[in-house]
Amino acid sequence: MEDQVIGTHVIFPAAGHIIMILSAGYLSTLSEFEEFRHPRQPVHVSDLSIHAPLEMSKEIMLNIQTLVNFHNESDGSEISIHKRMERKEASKPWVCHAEAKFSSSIIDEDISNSNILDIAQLVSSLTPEDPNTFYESVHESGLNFGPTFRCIKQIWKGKMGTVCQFVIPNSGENYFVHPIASDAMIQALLMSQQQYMSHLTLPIKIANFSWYISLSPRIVYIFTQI
Amino acid sequence: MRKVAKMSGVTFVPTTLAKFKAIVNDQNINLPLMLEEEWIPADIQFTEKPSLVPAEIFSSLNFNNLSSEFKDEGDKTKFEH
Repeated sequence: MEDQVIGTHVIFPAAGHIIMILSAGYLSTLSEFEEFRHPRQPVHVSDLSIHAPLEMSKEIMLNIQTLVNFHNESDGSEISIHKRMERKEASKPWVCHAEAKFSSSIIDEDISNSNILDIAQLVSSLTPEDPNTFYESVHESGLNFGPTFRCIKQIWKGKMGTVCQFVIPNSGENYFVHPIASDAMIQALLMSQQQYMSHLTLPIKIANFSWYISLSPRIVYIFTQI
Repeated sequence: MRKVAKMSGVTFVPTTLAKFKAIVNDQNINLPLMLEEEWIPADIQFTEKPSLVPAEIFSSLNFNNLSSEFKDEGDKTKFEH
């Protein structure tokens, strides 16, 4: 977690909120009791809003609550993430840091064959760039990625869009959506638009995030179409 | 390569380190409201609107349809989060 720091503050990343919302939504509705299977159908997070930065610290124990309000299968669940600094501060209110909706319904786009892309052909029309330029630029603005989150290894840019290559690490943890993957998508959006790189720029809302399938550690590509 | 994930409608807001530090230290604030209303430096002109550019992950998975792949990937393990 110390691999994503804003100034001197270790901040729980937006990608982490996505994973918590997905996990809470999935475990409360789809998974089997006391077992964690990777989802067998696409899962979606929508209307994610980050209300307050969630600072992490080795010195202070945080109490985190994730509340799930399940409506029905078509409407999904409303999920919120709350924090209180320490258990002894029982009189202090829980602060809501993020909220979103979770659903698992399959939509036509999820299974469409049009979602196939020839990355090799696309990359041949683009120009390679050094991803370290991006990481150095955002470092100057105050957003510091450590080695774990400096996950994008190659970038190609052009009129067609931006392609980023990254590797999902074999961390030994049982993520069905690895935080590196969701964070790399946010990084790719920052990389694709030059104006986002010159100032400290933070994601505070994500309208839609869909995960169609679980991935083992492997090389994958992110495409952002300008 | 086949699409594995899609993220769209991401709202980015610009701020500064000093202002972000003040936000972190005040746990009773509403981050989007504060950033929208007064925390965006005046010299930064781009507005607080969702990015129209989606980010999509593609992988070289070999499978014929999603349902069978989900069955294959649905390995039974203990939840460790």
